[in-house]
Amino acid sequence: MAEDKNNKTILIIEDDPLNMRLTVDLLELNGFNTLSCQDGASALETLKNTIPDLILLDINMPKMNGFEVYEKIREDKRLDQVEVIALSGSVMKEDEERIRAAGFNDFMPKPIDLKGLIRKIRGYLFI
Amino acid sequence: MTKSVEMQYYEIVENSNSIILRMDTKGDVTFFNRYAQSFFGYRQEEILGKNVIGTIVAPADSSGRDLKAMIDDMAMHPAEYVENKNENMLRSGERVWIAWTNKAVLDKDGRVKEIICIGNNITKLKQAEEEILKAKEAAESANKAKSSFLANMSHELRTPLNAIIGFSELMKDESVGAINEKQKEYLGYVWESGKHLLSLINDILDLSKVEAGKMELELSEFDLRELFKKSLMFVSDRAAKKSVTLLTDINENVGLVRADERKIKQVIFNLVSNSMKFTLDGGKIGIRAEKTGENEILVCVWDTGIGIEAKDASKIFSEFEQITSDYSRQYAGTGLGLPLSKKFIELHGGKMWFESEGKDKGSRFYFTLPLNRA
Repeated sequence: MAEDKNNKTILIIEDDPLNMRLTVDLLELNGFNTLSCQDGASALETLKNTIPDLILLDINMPKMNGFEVYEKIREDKRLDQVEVIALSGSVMKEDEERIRAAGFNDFMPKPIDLKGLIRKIRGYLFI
Repeated sequence: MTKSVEMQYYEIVENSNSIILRMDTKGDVTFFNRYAQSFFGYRQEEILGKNVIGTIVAPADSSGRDLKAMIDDMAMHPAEYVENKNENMLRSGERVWIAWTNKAVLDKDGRVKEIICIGNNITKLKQAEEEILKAKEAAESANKAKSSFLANMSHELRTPLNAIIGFSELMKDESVGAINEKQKEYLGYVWESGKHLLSLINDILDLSKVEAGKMELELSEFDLRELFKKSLMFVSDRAAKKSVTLLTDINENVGLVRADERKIKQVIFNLVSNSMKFTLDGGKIGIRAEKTGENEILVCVWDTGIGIEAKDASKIFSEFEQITSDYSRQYAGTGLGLPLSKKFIELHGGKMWFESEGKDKGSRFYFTLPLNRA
């Protein structure tokens, strides 16, 4: 079932350890490399040295929430080409509208549609 | 004769059960009837010539409204105070609410000379009004609390559900290695139960939105025939397993409609899944649709299933009603599908109802979809 490795690296920013583990394992089973950060601050630190191919960003996180992290990411010109997909358990229409209005490239509601997420990521990375 | 007419007027004014007073443009009292004297607690000689402010009117009312300014304004523009409700004050200091009618008395040059004020005590009415207002505010804030509780609960439940559904899916699909049939079966149950819980959460959220009047339709044009096809395809696996025959009879006059596609899909999907759930092996399920009249499509989802007994008929569209007694164990469902479907159809301006000849006689669920929506 596991896919051949590709050379794409996905950064996952997610505070819940089990949700993090699920996304990491899913992506690795599908051949991606992953970087994981449990909060916004450590993600921004990681981004100083690495430019991932795509970022999955949880919205509801303590301390710095997904919107704040997104804003910081967009301030960094080196990351201009990096697409950011929001993952969120807040799935009301207003929540999605707010996420799209903030400028995120895409939105995936939780629980995540596993196959859908992989399809989406492949679409953005043309693989 | 003249005197007797005067006497009559005097008696009317003095025996009336209303406050009757006159004041000049400064607000000084020039007349105070007997009822006013007993109501406010001032003898005539104590009040005549005194200003209403400080006697029967406090400079400001309990809510802080400037009553002195109001009295000044009334003297300037009496026409704007023909009917006026305001707080007044008894001699004891107790506050009361009076409904006043005010009429200016003009001098020969047409200038306001005095104002005649007739008042009735509405304190009790005012209190009742305030209590109703408070109760309404409390109900509104409770409803808001409910909505935000549901939204939060939904979010909090999604995080663990993400792990339950996600990990069980990876395992049951053998993404992380082979498992035996029993393990696959059990993991399938975990996954399905997780999905079931998720649809329950979604339905509760939807229902609370409808109830709060916050559910909006997202109208678009789409082909109803395609939607029927997709809904049946969705249950075709289960139909094959149960040897249930799926039938469609869609009149050619049914085609493009303007409606909320996601909600109509949910309605048809709910009805078809219900039929599947309640139809025994070897039975039949069908969708029938036709344009009736100029502006309406009539849809019927029918089955040869267990039917609906007359005694249960009133519960069909009630929330959580399916979760009763023996049905619930045998036929798992959220119990919210039908009430929600009915509300979605009603949001479109249509109607939903059902017919059943009774136990084991099958059911027919109907809904109408108006076509002339803007």
